Amino acid sequence: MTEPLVEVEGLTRVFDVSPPWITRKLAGQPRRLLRAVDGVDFAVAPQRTLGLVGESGCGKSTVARCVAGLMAPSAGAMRFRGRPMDLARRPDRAVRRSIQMVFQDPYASLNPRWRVETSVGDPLLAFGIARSRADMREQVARLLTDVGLSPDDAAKYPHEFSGGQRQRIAIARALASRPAFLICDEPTSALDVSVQAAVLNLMRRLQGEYGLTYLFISHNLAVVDHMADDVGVMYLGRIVEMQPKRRLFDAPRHPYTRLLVQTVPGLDTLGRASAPLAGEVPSPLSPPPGCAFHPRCPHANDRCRAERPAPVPLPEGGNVACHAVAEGRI
Amino acid sequence: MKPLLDIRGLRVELPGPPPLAVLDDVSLAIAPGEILGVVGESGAGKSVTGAAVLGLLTAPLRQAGGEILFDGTRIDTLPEARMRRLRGAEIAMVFQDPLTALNPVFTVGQQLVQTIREHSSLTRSEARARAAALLREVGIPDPDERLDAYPHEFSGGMRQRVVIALALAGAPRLIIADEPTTALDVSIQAQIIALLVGLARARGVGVMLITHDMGVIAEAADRVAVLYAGRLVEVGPVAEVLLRPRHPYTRGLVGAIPRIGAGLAVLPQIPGAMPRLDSLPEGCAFHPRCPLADARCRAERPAPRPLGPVQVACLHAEKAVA
Repeated sequence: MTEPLVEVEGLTRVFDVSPPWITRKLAGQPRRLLRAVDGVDFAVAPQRTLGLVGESGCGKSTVARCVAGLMAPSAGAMRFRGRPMDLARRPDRAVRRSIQMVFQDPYASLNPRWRVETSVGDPLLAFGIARSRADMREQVARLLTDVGLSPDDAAKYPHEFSGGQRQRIAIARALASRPAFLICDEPTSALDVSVQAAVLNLMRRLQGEYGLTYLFISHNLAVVDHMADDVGVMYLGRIVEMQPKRRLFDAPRHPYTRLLVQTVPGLDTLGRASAPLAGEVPSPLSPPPGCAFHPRCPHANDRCRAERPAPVPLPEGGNVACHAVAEGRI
Repeated sequence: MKPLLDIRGLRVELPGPPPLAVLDDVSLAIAPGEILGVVGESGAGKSVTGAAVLGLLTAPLRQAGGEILFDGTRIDTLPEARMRRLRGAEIAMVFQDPLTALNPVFTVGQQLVQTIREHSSLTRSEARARAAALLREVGIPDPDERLDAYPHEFSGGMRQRVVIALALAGAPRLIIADEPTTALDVSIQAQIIALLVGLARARGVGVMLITHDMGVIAEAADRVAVLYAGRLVEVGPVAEVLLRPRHPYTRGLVGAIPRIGAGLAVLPQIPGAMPRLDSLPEGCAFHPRCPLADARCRAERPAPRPLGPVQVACLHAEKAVA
């Protein structure tokens, strides 16, 4: 197997959500810790796409922010090209420019007072990629053309663009420093389907042209199926199943994955009343003991309620963290 | 059967000069117990359609033509006081964001009791019992205790159930649901859709389900109306419209949806973007993006016409389906 471009081992991020000190002392309350990400492992091979799916609060965006260096992990190791990396604690310009991010909301991720040229050109100047302002302008024009916009758009402001066009600008900005690894956190969730199709097509084309490796995060299973090579399913801070996407969607093993694949509303569900899963994702503040999914799981037994399942490798590749699968019960 | 809601040639304008048509000649009907999906891209006029039915068009938007009939009676010309009584009692609404639809400083019970008493002559304790029954009906566990909880103490999915209970408080015959599942997670979405469908069936309530999500439409709606640039392009039974779309825009829209297991290298996409209201093209509004457009499409605006089981506003609809 080729050496992974990005590797993450035991990634954990804990947030302190305690009430203020005085309240704790007066009411005798303990500190409260929220384990948003709890021991996540994955590796992404060069020019491949790893998809992460899960519902809100499962920790997928926190994984993205830790890898991008927007926040420091509480524990765990991250490696880029085999070398330890933690951009939030140890800024490293060479790695920094190689790892870029595209955010969900192109209305919030672009500075409304900056011309497109400034937003897209800033990384070129910051990393010393452009030799002069004229060179910067030329490179911005090329980037805008690459994402399907016109070089003339460089002089405009974000409000002059539609949502889909803004996301193209955000992609051009992410590509400016010629990154190897692009983290995309729900990049099309704010867009209409017809616009989404165009942006997804663009991202696949750019992956080939720029030789990009993607970490692609979405709650939309069909979008992840379209974009990813391998898919990890997150539930309450952990990856419960990771498989090559065809196997994951055709033969999901974890009961949660099965449920997700079954309940996703799609055109195939036409006229078929799907049986929605009862219950909700528990609060990450007080996760259930044992397997976090056991309160909603039809296959849960006493062991599931007491013992947290570890990821077990599957014969066909990938892994699944489920006692019922490991014991051959399902 | 006589339709419960009958929208005829509705036109909503943004005053000019020149006035811009936000909705132009839109005709739709909903029968009792029927779920009509209304889909389209942002800016196509979906939410404005719902707001017009509720008499809640926000200025400067105004109705400039057409009529809206509820149970055979015109409601778009009713004085505000009468419309107010109709809203909640006969026509209720469910919004996208359950957190903003509920008042954060009152308990769920207080809000339900107030709404129930607004629309009935029940005493406070009767209304409270009725409120608990409503919470039970929308699938909230321990309804008697949950009545005393504040909205922030509910999860997103449970909060949307509360909003639906609130909508049911006046025993309405029509519910306008504007993106009711958009703010929710996939597994919770499925629960809320199942709840809405169940209620429509059990109570014979008509539902206008406004959404941009074709998956939601496929799962919940009986019929679907597709809007483009403020105009109705296609309306018909959900299986017909989604599986055999006659209008080239509907075809493009349905084709652009990623599907699990499709294995496409490139998703089909519609070239260009929906035109702005101030620069609508002559003729068919879709012609600049349409693969079938010809000289007639550029000159002549197609009116919706019956084609098999659907109504479609396209001169070349026969070609599109072939």
